[in-house]
Amino acid sequence: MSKKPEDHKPELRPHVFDGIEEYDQKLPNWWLFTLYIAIVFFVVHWIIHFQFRVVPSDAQRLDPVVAKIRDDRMKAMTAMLNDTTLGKLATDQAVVAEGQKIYQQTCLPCHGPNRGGKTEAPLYIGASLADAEWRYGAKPTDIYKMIFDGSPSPADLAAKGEIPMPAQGPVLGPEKVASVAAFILSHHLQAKPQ
Amino acid sequence: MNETKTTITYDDRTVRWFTIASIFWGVIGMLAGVFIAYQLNYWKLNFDLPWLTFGRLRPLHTNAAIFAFVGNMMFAGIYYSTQRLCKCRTASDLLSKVHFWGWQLIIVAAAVTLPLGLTRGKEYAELIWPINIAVAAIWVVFAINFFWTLAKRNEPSLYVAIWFYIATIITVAMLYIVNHLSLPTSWTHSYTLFGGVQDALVQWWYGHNAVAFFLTTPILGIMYYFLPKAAGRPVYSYRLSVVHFWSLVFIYIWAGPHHLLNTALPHWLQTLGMGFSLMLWAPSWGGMLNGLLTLRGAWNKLVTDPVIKFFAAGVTFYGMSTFEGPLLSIRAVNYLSHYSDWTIGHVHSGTLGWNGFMAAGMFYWLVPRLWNTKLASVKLANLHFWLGFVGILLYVGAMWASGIRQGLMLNALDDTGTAVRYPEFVETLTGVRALMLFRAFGGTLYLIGFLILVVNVWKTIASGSPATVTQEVVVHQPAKRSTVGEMVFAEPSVAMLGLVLFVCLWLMGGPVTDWVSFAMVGVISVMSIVRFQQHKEHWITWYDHLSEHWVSFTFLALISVAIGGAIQIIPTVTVNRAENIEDRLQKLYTPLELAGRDIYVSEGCYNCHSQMIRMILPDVLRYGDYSRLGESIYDHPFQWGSKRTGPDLAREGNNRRPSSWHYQHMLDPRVTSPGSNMPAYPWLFDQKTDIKALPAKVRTLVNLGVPFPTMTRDEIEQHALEQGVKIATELKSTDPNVQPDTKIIALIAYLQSLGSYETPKTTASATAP
Repeated sequence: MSKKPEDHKPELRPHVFDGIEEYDQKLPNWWLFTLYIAIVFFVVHWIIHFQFRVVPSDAQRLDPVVAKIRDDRMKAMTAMLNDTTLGKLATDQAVVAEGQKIYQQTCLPCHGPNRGGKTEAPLYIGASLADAEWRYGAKPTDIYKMIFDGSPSPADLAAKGEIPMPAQGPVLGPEKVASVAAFILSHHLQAKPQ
Repeated sequence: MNETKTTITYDDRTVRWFTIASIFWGVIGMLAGVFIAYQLNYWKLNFDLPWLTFGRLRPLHTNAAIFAFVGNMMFAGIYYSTQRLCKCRTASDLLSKVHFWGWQLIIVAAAVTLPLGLTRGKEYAELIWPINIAVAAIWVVFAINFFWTLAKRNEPSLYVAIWFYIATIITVAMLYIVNHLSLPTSWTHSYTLFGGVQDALVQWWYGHNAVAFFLTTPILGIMYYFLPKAAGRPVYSYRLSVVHFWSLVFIYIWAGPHHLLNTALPHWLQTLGMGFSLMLWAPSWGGMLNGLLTLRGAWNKLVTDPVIKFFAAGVTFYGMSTFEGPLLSIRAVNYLSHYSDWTIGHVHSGTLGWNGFMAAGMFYWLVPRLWNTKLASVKLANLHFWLGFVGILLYVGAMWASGIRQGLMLNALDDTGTAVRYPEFVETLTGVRALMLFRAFGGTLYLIGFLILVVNVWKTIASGSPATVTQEVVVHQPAKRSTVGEMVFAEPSVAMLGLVLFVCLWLMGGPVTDWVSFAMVGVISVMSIVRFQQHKEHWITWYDHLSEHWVSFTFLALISVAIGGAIQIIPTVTVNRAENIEDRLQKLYTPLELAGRDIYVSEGCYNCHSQMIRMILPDVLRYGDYSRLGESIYDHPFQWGSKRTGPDLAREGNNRRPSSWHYQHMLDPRVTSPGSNMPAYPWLFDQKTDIKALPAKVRTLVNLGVPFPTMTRDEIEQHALEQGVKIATELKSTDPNVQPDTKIIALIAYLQSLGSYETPKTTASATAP
């Protein structure tokens, strides 16, 4: 063991265990390198993060992004959507069709296939979207807002035993909410012009 | 030296029993696995029966596969090889019997309690507390029997297989006991001692190292014995054994937090988890290399001998999954893969490929020898191999594709970059349905292969009769042995312990300590290398001595495995207190919500739903604000989850959806979520909530440090009933006959509480230094 075996004939260890012999080959270099590289990576990574602290934390990185998205959504909503533009969207067949698709996935379980909600079948728990009553305002932007933010003060409603509408904006985003609003409105074009 | 010889008879009856038990439970475990795989595709296979639902059967599958199948296989291999490597019969036949029957009783108890919904709610640690105590006791019986055998051995030196067995026994004992600490509320229910992030850390320290020290190290030991035996070739490299053994047992323990990447877990812990996982790659591959390179010169046997086929493939799958593990531990990769099928595929390339194939190889080698006969059919064994092999590839391939596809879909943003592209979770599930079916096919093939093993083993046993093996051995008279002190305070161990000490100080130390310690790490490393070069003989002799001295060896191994956990867990035990939480503090559960939570745990909801919104944009856009540590601080056990077959539920409450939605959804998930594969839970609508048990539960949680206000027994029950009536009134329009004391009401109360927090008043006493 004191000298490295210069020839390539592997050396057998003197001891035999229940017939099992052992060579004592050198550790493969590439194998050692993977170990060394991983150790160096860890050491450097740790020092950068926790000793020099030059890399922002997850929260520092994520919070501004989320805040900006929130701002953008608000801006997009106010800039793009007013009663006129939303009203126009409700006549755009492509947008309405897209809205219908989303409605069937997201809204149908509560509001029913014919938008009748509770009045359609006892199975559905949402309010009727087919009648002429709009509890929180009948303007297109009111309806958009209702879908985006859900019922105002849901806790109070729940306390009264009523079922609040959940906010869909955070999940769907403004564009899809606008399509759904357009779909809903498209059924009210003749009945109740804005 | 006077040499006395003696004839010993090996106790192979115990080995035979464990072999048969392993094969029997293997069938059960795999059958359960295949069944629940089909349940994911065909929800009707849940049969609307409580004890056949996915949430209860999945723990049965994992526990059976790990503890019953691999456990019994490991014991068979260890009892067989340890006797031969120690040239001595197992120390006590009585202890072997207690070990065997005790373990089988535990498995039966598990198979009864898990489908009944009796669970602790932590993965691979579901069994209820009386069974936990039995497991710990039987493990100690095993340990005594094993170490007693080492003490009586007629072979001076310990072979590498024994090193791995030693590490297995002490580490599993440590992990199992710590992760199962709990306070009982009744004979079948308890709350975990740790809560929130601490519980998460302890759980994954245990969970990850159950893979390491229950599924890996004992099987490596078995590989080191059975593979050279079957191949008739010397082990490739002794020094590789030494290096990879010690690096493996030291590094493995630290890697647990890689199960919690991008979560609320403090970043330094995530970095430890990721960094040590990457460093673990080489030690793991050391085992694979030593296995595969031992086969050099025996490759011709690969064609003719099914045993070698299974071993070669098993070791290759070990290499594959230990490469995949570090890859998945990289935070950026985990961003995509976490909670997805990719992880499930990764685990199964290890369990089906490594554990399953090593087990099959060992059985095909062992059974003919134990029953003094020949293997009944080599052809059938080959057929088993190919069915199993194709089964694994189908399984793992499908899970890769499924995990990546669903991960990409879940994380995809729409063109505006401000919303997720597939807002409905069900859409992403539908996207991987076909792949989930391929996985079930793969599993079925693997099961068929294993059934062929059963037939083959059956026929082999029928053709032989139990063998009695005797051997003449030289009685080993230990020369004057060095003491533990002499072994531990020798230069090599002092150098290594010093190195580890300063690494810990570097990682944990303050702004000055860390740099000083880092410098010391460098100094000790260089000094150690220099001293090793100069005194090579001395260091090698020391190690030869160490491997003749099982007490010192075990002591050093214990230190190596204990450090990583201590560094990670102890700081959070002291830091994770309500008074230290700055931003958000979980709202205390009401008694009814607590009852609902126990139902959630009991039904195994955590098997498919996480409660942890990661600090990544797609998670935040989909589920809401990322989860904070304080928001689960009172959760015993934590329910962060590890897999999302359904959406995250961390912010499901607070009327995100109306209670009537939950009511409909639990009765028939497909009414509210068309395309869902979730089971229906009709029994929750009939069974009553166990209100009477609540006072004991609340009291137990108070003892664990949850600051419930003081309430009398009657007040607790009254409060629960009143809240039940309130929710039932809300539901009147959905179902006029709903009863306020049914389980569904409690569950809805819990679901509506998810995500409730308050902002603690920052006390002015939190002053500047």
